[in-house]
Amino acid sequence: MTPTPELDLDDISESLAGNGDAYARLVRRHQGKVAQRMWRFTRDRTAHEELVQDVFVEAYMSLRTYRAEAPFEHWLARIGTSVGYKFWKKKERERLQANLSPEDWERIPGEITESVEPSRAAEILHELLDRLPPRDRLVLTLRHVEDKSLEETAQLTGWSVTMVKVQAWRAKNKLKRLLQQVGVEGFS
Amino acid sequence: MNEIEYLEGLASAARREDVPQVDVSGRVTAMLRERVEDSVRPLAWVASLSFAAALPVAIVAYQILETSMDPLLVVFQMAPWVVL
Repeated sequence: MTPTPELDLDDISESLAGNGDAYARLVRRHQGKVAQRMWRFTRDRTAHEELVQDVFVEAYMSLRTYRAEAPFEHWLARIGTSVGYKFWKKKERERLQANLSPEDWERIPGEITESVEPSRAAEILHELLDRLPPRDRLVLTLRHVEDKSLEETAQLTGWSVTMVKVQAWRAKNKLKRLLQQVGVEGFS
Repeated sequence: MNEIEYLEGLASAARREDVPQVDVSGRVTAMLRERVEDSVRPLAWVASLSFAAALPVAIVAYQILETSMDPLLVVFQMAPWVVL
C-alpha cells in the first residue's frame, strides 16, 4: 500500500476521533518503511518487531502533536530514530555490565566487494557499529548508511547542524580507531 | 580506502538485503485499546465516587431550592398542625 498524504490525513483525523480501524490502516500503510528503518537498529527479529510496534504506539500517543507540515512518513521517521536510539542506549547499558569476549572482534573482513552477500555485509556493518557509542552510531548510520544530508540528520535527531558536524567528525575518528583495533587491512 | 568509504561500501551491500516483513497493525491496535482502557479505569472510579458523593448533596439542594422558590409553602405545610 503506497502512502499518500490525503489518505494519511483522513486516517489521522479519524484516529484522533477514536476510530481504531483508521489507525490500523495507517500502520499497515507505513509499516514496511518503518520496518526497513528499524532493521538498522537491530538484527534480532523479535526485537525488530517490537521496535516497529513501539514506533506506532509512540506515534499514536503523540498523534495530536502532528501538524501536517511534513509528510506523515517523515514524522514517523523521526519517531523511529528516537525509538531506535533509546533502544541502543538501553542495550549499551546492558552491554557495559556484560563484558565482550575478544572473539567478538575477529570476524570483520578487510575488503568489501560486490561479491559480499548483502546479509553478511549488513551483519558486519551491524557488528562494527555496535561497538561504537549510540550517538556516534546514530550519526554514522544516518549520514553514511541511510545517506541523509546534514540537515535531514539534524531534523531526525533534533540536533543542530553544527552538532551533527561535530558528532560526525568524532564518530569518524572513533570508527577509524575501531577499524585499526579490529585489524582491518589498510587500517592497522 | 578510508573509514567512511569502507562503511559506505558495507552499507551499499547491506541495502540489498531483504528486510523481514512484519505486520504489527493487530498488535498495535490491541495494545492501544488496552492502554486506553487502563487510562480510563481510574477515571471511571473517580467518576462513580464523585457521583455517589454528589447525589445526597443534590437531593438536599433540590429540597432547599423548592422551599426557597415558594417561601409560603412552609407556612401552608405548617397550617394543618396549627388547625389541629
